[in-house]
This record gives sequence, structure tokens and C-alpha cells, in this order.
Amino acid sequence: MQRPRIYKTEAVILKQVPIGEADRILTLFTASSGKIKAVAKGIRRPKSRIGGHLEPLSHCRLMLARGRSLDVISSAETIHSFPKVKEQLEGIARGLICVELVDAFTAEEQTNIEILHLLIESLEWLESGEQDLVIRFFEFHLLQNLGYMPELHYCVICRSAITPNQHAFSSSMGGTICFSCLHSQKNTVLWDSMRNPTFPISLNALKVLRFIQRTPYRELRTLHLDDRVAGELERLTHRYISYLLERQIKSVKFLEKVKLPHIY
Amino acid sequence: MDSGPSKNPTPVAPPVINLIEELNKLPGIGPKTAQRLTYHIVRITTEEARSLTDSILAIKEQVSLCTVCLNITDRNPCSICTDVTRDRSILCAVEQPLDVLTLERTGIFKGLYHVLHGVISPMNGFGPEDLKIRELITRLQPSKPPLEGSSELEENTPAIEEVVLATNPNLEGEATAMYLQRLLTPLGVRVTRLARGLPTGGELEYADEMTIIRAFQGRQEF
Repeated sequence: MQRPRIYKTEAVILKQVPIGEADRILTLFTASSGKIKAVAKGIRRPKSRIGGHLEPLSHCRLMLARGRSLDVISSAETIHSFPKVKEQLEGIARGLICVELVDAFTAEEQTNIEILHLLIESLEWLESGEQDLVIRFFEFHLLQNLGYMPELHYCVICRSAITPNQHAFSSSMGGTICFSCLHSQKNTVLWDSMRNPTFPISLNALKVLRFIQRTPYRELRTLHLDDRVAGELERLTHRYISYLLERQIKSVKFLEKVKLPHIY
Repeated sequence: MDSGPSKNPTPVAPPVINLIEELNKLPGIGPKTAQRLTYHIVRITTEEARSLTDSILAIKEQVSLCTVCLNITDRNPCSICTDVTRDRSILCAVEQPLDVLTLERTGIFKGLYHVLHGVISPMNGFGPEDLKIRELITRLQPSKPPLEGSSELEENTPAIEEVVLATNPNLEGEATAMYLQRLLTPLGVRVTRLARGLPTGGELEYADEMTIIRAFQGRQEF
């Protein structure tokens, strides 16, 4: 079937790289075809009619023309620019974690409207003033959508139900492990932290993870986490995600730095 | 005379190939442009060619970063940093050396500059540690080291009272400005940001949400 030469879609801007005299290549997550790269011509000039509408983290309505290699954005209009998210460094850093993860986990031209909705919903919660819990919600629901949701109820080796305080978490095995499997001789490889990062997880953190897994954010937001559990969840999630991506998430490092700015 | 397939793998003279390869390394110059430029250089006079090579060498030999403002200069400290007529109590922080040129062309700013050499952009792997932020902080601290070779200037130099954040009004530029604001405000210096609003010659119809919000917030008595 011949695809139309000009098409309209909605998208969230994931990132941008300057190219040529005044252009940028944008990475977009679109409703019609998932992640794509597109050229925005003249966008770096102050009088660009599309420039202000195409900032990273913005949700916009676009018209694109098919190009030979990359499509070209011919017009753009903001649906929501999330001004409150962009007003604060922490907000920007949290928003960037979301878009960086979408960019890292998705392949180009794989339509996935749920991810777009999840991304927009998370940005809306950030806009309403919610903080780190939104990121945990986003991360786990993104993992769930992509098929990377870790097992949190049974031992991933022997399939027995996890009993309180008798478990650890293994990134490489993709979930919780019971103590008998963990200490069994044939599973010593689990303690090779370089290849198979396995680490303890507290019962509280495990319960919160299970709750995040099955709960819409509207209910989740009433949850009050103490700093210790919140920190544990953050470390666990990012170790797991870094294991999957085989690299660090740069925006996470930026958020840490922003929370504790020091001089370079 | 055609004497069958040549044994020589490069029918083109090696100096020509060398120049094509060198030009090809430049940004924005592909193989075809490199070839065209090379054959153009073959035709120009020796003086013209020498003038070109001299200019390139002069850049490498004479141009460096100013140790004070980190702008590109042929004198160290640069002509802006040593200009006694400039206001030494106000500093304008910009992303790149080209921005200094753009601001200087207007003649509106009479203070000093600080070039950050980049912008915070975590999605492109560029963090605060990659910018010249430490150098900026050093300039603002009262016990800053004296300017090299300009001790007479230093004697009456007032402390910097204001830093104008002139990073670009996009997400990365804003993030950089906010980050700097957090670092600089505790130092007791006044931190300002260039105004954001509607561009001259632009149209309201095409302005985005953020620009209109900023334009309203920054409206002035008319």
C-alpha cells in the first residue's frame, strides 16, 4: 500500500541533535509509528514557527512529509508543553529520565500507543507536582509493557512462593530468588556481581514493587514511602535497568547531581 | 598513448590525493566537494595558496582560549578582558565563543564574558562536569587569582556583582541556566537571565505556549 506523502500524528519529543546551519534532528515518539527520527528545518532560528513547539518533553500535534531517509516536520502545534516540569531542574531531570528510557528501550517504527500514553500520563503527574514515585511507576509500567517486568512473587529458579525475608533480587534472572536456591552450590554464579548482579531486597521494598506493578498512579500516589525504602527502590530499579540496557542511564546521574549540586 | 590497464593503482598524483583526503576530514565537506576544492587549489596562484596555508597555521599558532573568559583569542587575556573601558562588575555567561560575537555585534553589553563551551544535555551525554563551570566560580570568588600580565588592571578591579545567564532559551539552555543559578546565588552575586518573549518580525499566531507565558510575565509599561 502506498503510504501518504504527508501525514499527521501526535508525538512526544524525546531528544534533539543540531545539524547543519539551523536544523535539528528530533527523535519523536509518535502515535502512528512509534519512535521515529525527523528533521525540523530552520528550527534554531529565533523566528522559526515550529521551534517553540518542538522542545524535548513537549507533547505536540505534527504534520510530517515523507523524506528519502528522514521525514521532515512541516508544521507543529503544542498540545501540552508541561511548563511546570520545565520550570525546575528536578522536573527536567525526571522528565528526561522518562524520555531517555523510552528512547533506549524502543526500536524505531514499532507502533506502541500504550507507551505513548504512559509517557504522557507520567509527564502529566510530574506537571501536577508529583516527584520520584512517578518515575518508579513509569519505569515499572514501561518494563511491563516491554516484557521485562521482573517476577516478584515466586523464586525464578525453583518457582516456590517467596517467603518473607528469605529472598534476594537477581537482575540477570529477572526477579526474586529464594534463599535455598541462592545458597545452593550450583547457583554460585549468582554471586558473581559483575555478570549477574544479585542483591538483597527488603520485604517492604518488595511489597511496594508488587503494589506499583498492579496499581494505577491515581491510587499509588497516596502511598507514603520513607526515604530508606524509596532509596532502595531507586537503586534496585536502576541496577536492573542498567543491566538490561548494558549501560548507565545518563539522566539518572543528572538527577542525582541536581539534587546535590556541587562545583565542577 | 594508451598502454592497456595501468599497473599504477593511483593514476592521480599523490599530493592531490593527500589534499583531497585532508579536506574530506573537514565538517560538511564530502568527497566530491573535497575533489572540487582540491582542483580549484591546483589552479590558484602560489601566493593565494600560501595565504591560505598561512591563515590556517596562524590559527593554530596564535589563537588559543583566553585564560580568563575562555573565549577564542589571539591575545591572552583577550581584548575584551583587558579593555579598561568595559564594566568589570558584570559578567555574561554564554554557551559558545560564537555567542560572544553575536552579542558584541549589537554593542548593547559593555561587561565581560564567560564562555561555558557547551550546555547541559543529559540525553546527548553532556553533563555539568563537561562545562567550564569551575572556572566561572573561580572568577566570582573574592580570592580569585590575578589576571596574568595585567596587574595594573587588577588593582582597581571591582568584584563581579552580576552574572547574566545568556544560554539559549531551549530546554538544555534553561537547564544550564537553572543549574548555574543554584550554584551562583549562594555566592552572593546577582543572577539575571536574558528576557524571553516574542521575536521581532514574528507572529503571535505561531508562538508557542512557553513563549507566550514568558512574554506575558515580562510585559512592560509602554
